[in-house]
Amino acid sequence: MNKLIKGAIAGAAGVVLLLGGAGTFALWNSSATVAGGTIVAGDLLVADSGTAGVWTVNGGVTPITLSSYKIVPGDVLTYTKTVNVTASGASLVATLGLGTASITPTAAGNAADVALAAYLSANTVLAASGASITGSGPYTVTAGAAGIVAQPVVVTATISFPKSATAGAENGAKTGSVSLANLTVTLTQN
Amino acid sequence: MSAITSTIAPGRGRHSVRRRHSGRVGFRSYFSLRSTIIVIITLVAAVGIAVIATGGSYALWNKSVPTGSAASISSGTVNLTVSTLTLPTTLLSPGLTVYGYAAVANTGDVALSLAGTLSAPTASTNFSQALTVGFSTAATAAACTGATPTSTATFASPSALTFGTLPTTATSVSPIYVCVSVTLAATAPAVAQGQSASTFGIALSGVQS
Repeated sequence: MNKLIKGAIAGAAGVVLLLGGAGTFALWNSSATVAGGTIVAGDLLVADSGTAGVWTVNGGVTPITLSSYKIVPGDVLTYTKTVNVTASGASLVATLGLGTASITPTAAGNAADVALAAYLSANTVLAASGASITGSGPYTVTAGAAGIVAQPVVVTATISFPKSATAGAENGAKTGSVSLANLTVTLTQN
Repeated sequence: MSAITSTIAPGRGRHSVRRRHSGRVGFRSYFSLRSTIIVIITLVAAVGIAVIATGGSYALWNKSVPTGSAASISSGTVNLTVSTLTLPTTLLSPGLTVYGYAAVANTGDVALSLAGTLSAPTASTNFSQALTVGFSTAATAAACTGATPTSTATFASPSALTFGTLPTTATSVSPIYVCVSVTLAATAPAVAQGQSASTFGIALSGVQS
């Protein structure tokens, strides 16, 4: 190998050694702090107003005592209750509705309870009215720029026991019982 | 992928460097690159999956409140009870009517539309074919004697019977009476003498009004 080649190899080896050594080769950089403001999250809340709800039947105005009432095919029970809605967030829009599984059999293994729950669950409708409510089902709450704070909303749950033209069609639901412990009003962001 | 050939020791022969590294070196390089690509793809996928898995939840806001309504709803029932039909043992002659009654109670939770059907005797005879059965309702048993039927039927041509509404106030203590009259036709044939009509019945049914 001639001297020129030896020299090139040595030089290259030297460069390689230098490059492989310790040390950083960061690009130039600089940083600065940008002062920002405060970000606050909005709110979405539905709460009990504290006023007891009222049960009526078949369009009557006289409240009934539900614990002593026996529902029969053709009856329409109405529960009226006031809740307070809070919503803040300029772009917040939410839907007001009934929670799922609001009506359940008192005893899951009792055929009459199960049959009654099926009839009533399939025929329960929620209505709502208030300054912050729009729509006719589904019902919408729009917070807007100003927001809504503890706005009263009257909710009405109408529970109908269907009555077929066929005699005996609803016999399976005689002496049944259903629980309303899970009857809830929900607000869900759209 | 082109073959890599060594220039350090070209050599010759079967085991020369040149020959040793020519095609087989290229073959190894091909798989080395392919393996590298596979590893890179795997790493990228793994990182991506890890990022997705640790990304947290993105649930919309929601809130619910119990309505505070009563604990449960109970359904009612319907229940119709009928006493045994009481008919006198008077022997019938052409044109004669005998009266009887059955007490009917509604122990359910809704008023019932009361209806009935007449079932013929086990054995049809000239006598049974000449009978007309009449029905009505009354508030007392005594009122059934001599009551004018509101509907009639014969064993020869049984028809559906209606008795009106049976309210829930018709309890076992204070029932409503279904009045039954049996008339032998004035034109009953002579051969009907001495015959009888037994085990006939009236099936009552109540349907929610």
